[in-house]
Amino acid sequence: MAQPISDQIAIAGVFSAPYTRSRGMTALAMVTEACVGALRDAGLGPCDVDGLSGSQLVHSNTLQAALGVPEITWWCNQRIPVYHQLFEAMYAVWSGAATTVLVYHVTYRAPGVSRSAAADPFRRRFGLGTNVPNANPDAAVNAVGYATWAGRYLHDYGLDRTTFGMVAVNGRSNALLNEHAAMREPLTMDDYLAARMLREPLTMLDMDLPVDGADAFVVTSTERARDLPRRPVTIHAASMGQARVNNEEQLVDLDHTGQQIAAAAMWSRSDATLRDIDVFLPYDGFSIIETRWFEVIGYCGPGEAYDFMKHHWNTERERIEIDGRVLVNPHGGSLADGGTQGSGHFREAVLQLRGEASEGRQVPGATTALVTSGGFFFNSAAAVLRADEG
Amino acid sequence: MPDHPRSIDEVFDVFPNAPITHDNLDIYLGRLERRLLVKRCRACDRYHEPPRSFCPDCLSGDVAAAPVSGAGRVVLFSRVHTGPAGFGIDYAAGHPIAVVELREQPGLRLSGQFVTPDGRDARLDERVELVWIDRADGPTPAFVPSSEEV
Ligand SMILES: [Zn+2]
Repeated sequence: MAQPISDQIAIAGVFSAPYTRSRGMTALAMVTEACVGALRDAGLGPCDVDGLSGSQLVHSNTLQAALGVPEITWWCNQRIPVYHQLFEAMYAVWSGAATTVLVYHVTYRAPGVSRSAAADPFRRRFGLGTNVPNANPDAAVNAVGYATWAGRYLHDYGLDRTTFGMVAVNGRSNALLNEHAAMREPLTMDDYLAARMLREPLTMLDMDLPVDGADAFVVTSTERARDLPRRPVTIHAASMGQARVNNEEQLVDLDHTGQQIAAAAMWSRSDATLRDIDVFLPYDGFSIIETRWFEVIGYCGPGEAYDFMKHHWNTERERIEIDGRVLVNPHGGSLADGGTQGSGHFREAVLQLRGEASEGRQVPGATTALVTSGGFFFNSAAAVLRADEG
Repeated sequence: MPDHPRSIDEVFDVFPNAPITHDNLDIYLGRLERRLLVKRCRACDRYHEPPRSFCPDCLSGDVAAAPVSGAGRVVLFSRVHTGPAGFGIDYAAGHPIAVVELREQPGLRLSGQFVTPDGRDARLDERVELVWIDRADGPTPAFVPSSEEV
């Protein structure tokens, strides 16, 4: 059931600095580019902003000075993923702490992520950023945590890697239609199965693609957004979820994660049901996460994601089309658009609900988007966004 | 506590890379003696991981490191081909990581290298027992297939 806040807060502007393997720019420059674009998109300027929802990579005080925002009355510097920044902004506007909040998210390929990144002298001077390596080589945490639970999932349901391959192929096929995506080479199941193994059973094609890139959003009241040039995209329902036992190794099982808590909370706050969803944007930082979101959010039962994807597979387009209509990560997701902790998913939701996504990728007449963010351990969230009817 | 307490300096020397804190210091003191310890509450007898100073089940502060067998079953497993340097691990061959649910308490798990003569993968749910290995970062608990099962 809708809550008092439902549809009262809107995204009035969006813009992305391109996602590429190497932009040759600082994180601050990419954020500035994205924020300037989002403000222009919303028909606003720096003087209209009184809140900044920032990241740990570029703090809000740095960005405020860089953008020349005269005064702000609210800010935060949240950790990834991006729903933290978006939801914080939503609550800040709802509470009256700010009227117009600029939300931004940036990723910068740290030298620890690859040999090519390590070879870049600018990245070496930048340091590790948020990519702090695990100090214990035996710990099944972070990426290893996802790999081990992916293995458990396949084992328990008698599945093989083609399940995850369908997630990767769907993302890549969609990315071919997205000029913004960082990975735009076609991917077949055979390519997927031959990919370099990183952490069994997950390959380099099962984890989000490290990119340079930034997204920015203008969050304000729906009432105010209706006076701005773009059709507002309202936040209809939003939730976060975390279970008591939430670390990778001690997690009870995949049926007791933050995903189930976030899903139940989100549906309890929503007038929309799964049948109303036009576009589904499940987080795919690891392919197993998207696989499970199909099941947890209610498209199918536990262990049934493979059958579900297969049943709704368009063999001509090599992608998932639920009931022949609903696209899944039409921008390509973290695996192909680029790994930005879900900011690409929210950006795509806004573009889809404004009818601005490219041909073949736009769901015709999309009015309702479902974004499920985060994974199993301590970062699950879900949201329904709607095109404003007002 | 260990029978022969060692100095805190020695723990920091032997485990130069370990994230040693006041909550897990006694666990690492145990490792120096090749004794596998897990935090256990003296008020309610429950074990917990990761190490904490207050019991998450009854909130008692009467928590101490207690010995465990290291025997149990493999709940999670991955062979990883990338990971932190500085431990003398051969990632080309793949580093086998097992998460083992200890027989002492349902849900109580520890992770460690899975060690076999032929270097095979662990099977999920197979029974294992404790073995100590020496690595660049000192005595390290690891797991071998259970001798009872063979
Ligand atoms: Zn207790």
